Amino acid sequence: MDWTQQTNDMMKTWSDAQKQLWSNWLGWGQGAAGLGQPAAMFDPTQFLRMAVDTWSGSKDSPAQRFAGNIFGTPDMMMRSMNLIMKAWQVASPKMEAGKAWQPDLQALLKQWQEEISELPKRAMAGSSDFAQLSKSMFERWSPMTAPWLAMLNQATAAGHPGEAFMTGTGGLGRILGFGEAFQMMGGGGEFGLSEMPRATVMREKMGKFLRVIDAVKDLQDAQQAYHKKLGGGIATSVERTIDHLAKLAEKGEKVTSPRDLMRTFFSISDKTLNESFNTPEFLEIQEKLTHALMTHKIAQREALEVIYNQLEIPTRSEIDEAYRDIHELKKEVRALRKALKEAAPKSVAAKGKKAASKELEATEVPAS
Amino acid sequence: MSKFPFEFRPDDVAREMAQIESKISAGLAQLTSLKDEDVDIGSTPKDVFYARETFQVYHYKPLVPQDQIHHVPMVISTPLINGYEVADLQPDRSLVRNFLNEGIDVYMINWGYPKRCDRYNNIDDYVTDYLDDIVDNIAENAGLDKINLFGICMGGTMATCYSALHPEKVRNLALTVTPIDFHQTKIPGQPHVGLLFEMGRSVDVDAMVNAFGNVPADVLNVSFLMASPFTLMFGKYADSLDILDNKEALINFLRMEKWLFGGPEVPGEAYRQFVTQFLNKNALVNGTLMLGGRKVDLANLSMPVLNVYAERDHLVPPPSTVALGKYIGNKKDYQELPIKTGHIGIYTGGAPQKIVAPSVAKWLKEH
Repeated sequence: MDWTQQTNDMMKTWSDAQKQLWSNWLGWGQGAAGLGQPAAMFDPTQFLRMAVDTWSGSKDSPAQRFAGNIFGTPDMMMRSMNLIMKAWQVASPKMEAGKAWQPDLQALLKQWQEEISELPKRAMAGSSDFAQLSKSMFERWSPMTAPWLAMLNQATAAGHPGEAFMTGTGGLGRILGFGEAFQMMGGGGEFGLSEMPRATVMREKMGKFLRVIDAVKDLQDAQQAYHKKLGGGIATSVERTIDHLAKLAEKGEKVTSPRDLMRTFFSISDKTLNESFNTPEFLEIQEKLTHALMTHKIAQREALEVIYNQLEIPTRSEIDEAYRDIHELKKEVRALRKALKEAAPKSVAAKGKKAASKELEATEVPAS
Repeated sequence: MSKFPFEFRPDDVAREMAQIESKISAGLAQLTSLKDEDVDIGSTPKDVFYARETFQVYHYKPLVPQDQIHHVPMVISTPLINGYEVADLQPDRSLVRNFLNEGIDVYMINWGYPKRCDRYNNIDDYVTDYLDDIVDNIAENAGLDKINLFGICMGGTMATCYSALHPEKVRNLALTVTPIDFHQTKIPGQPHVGLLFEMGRSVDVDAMVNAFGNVPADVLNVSFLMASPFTLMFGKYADSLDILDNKEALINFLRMEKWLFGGPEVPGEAYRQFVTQFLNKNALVNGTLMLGGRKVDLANLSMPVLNVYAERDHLVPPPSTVALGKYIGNKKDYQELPIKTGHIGIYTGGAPQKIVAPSVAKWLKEH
């Protein structure tokens, strides 16, 4: 039997195995006591995690976390196996014919890598569409601030992002005092040079919001670069796994179990990724990603603080300042206590010495 | 002539899938009956000897008769980035229990879970204030001037700094998998070794601390997982299918998971200082580290030192640990003890259970 036929048979075997595993997937979840049908759940893994959570009665218990990882295992196993099977399907005809199989496989993996690197952008919506970008941006804010941000979102969705700040379309501009400022600047009020500092303040406030948008864009780019590099590492791992299989074929050895194949793939992947992680190029990409994440978080906080300040709600920066003061005061108290403790025996000793000295003096005074 | 390298017989594959199913079903039954408290870690009986702010110092109940207890107490200095429970993970894999069985009077620091208000705590605070206070209290309780210090990983680095600042208060210093030279972290041909340090160096720590305040445990966990991403994120769980139907093995697996993923946040300033001073500037071995306004000089380590390291440690590579021998003041009383295991295995591995505590206890009693 030629390799193509054998590969097709193997693919069928694997496909049947997947069906067998998946058909029981929801059955496991439905067996969970006290829970309804899992159909409404977005992700079966979530359902199963919730099931274990219900049983163990504890949020984020090791059993619950473990359940998520265990139930994610067949999924990961299938994804890995499918990728290797596809790769094998592409490479094996040339391999059997004794020709170079790498170019065909590399073309497949390049396409896969490109798809992988596009994921962050897809997940966050296209940056060309401001409404979509802002929507995706606001989804990352905390639920508590959602009502306030909804106003901004509404305003930006109406057209130019600046509307939110200039005319107060959604009400946020008024909350922030932007409306008043821009009215001064041309919306009906008289604008004198003496008002310039206030306008500068307004511009600063606007700048903080616009910086969040910049940060989202930078984050998207950094995530894309990171995914691309990581995808490249995984693509190399797949190629090395196929190369490993080619060597087994030369030696006449065989892989007999999907789990063994998966273990081999994981082991090759770890080694390959570690090589990649150590390169200056990867470390730079990772640094850019973490920097973009942090910048985004800080920009988001600074923008929120504009709102909180206006509403006279204490901000994180203010609370952190208070924490810093408390920390400094605590240190001073500790130092004073320590100094007091160290001084106490000395003064007792000194007192004792003084008393002894007086006693000595007394005894030395000649009786007159 | 090459031969087709697969032999996936439909019956075998179906059987393998059926086994996975049955293991998962059995695992569900096990997990259903498990409560969080069943997965107990750090369970060796103890009293809270001392508590301050976020941390507690435990004093363990002896496991041998009073007359067999070594007269000098030993305090275990734990890292800020992981829970203290690594030294007491499960009853039959417990460094603490092993020390107690050897007649050592054990105290251990649990640095606790820092809160937002602790974000300004730095290494200065931990070494020159907290650790000093702990040592003073234990020494006073024992009626001694000096006690023994035992360091775990980063806790060992802090214990080393403390011992260099206060050699008059430390009788013996025992270290395990302790980073000393943060620039001796690469081993040719082993890219996963020292990766944690490499990645830590490449991150903008100022931005991270400014953004997070305290550095979340999950951020640190990701760094640990990156050394073997596929094995630790997927392979480990795929392999764990085989123990799902064994309750005792499952609980032990979950104990490790609980410790790994239940770690504390690290106070922001402590993390910033550790990364900038230790990791980036390598100030501890360069002689430029200042704590509490004083220079930390390794040449001041005049007490006997036992440096225990793991030969297969990829997180704190052996060259980083054994570098201490080069800088230490009292070279005559400096010893190394290599153990054939990995970073965590030194505390939880089967074979190290029989080596680490007995060897350290023997050494402590001799010095």
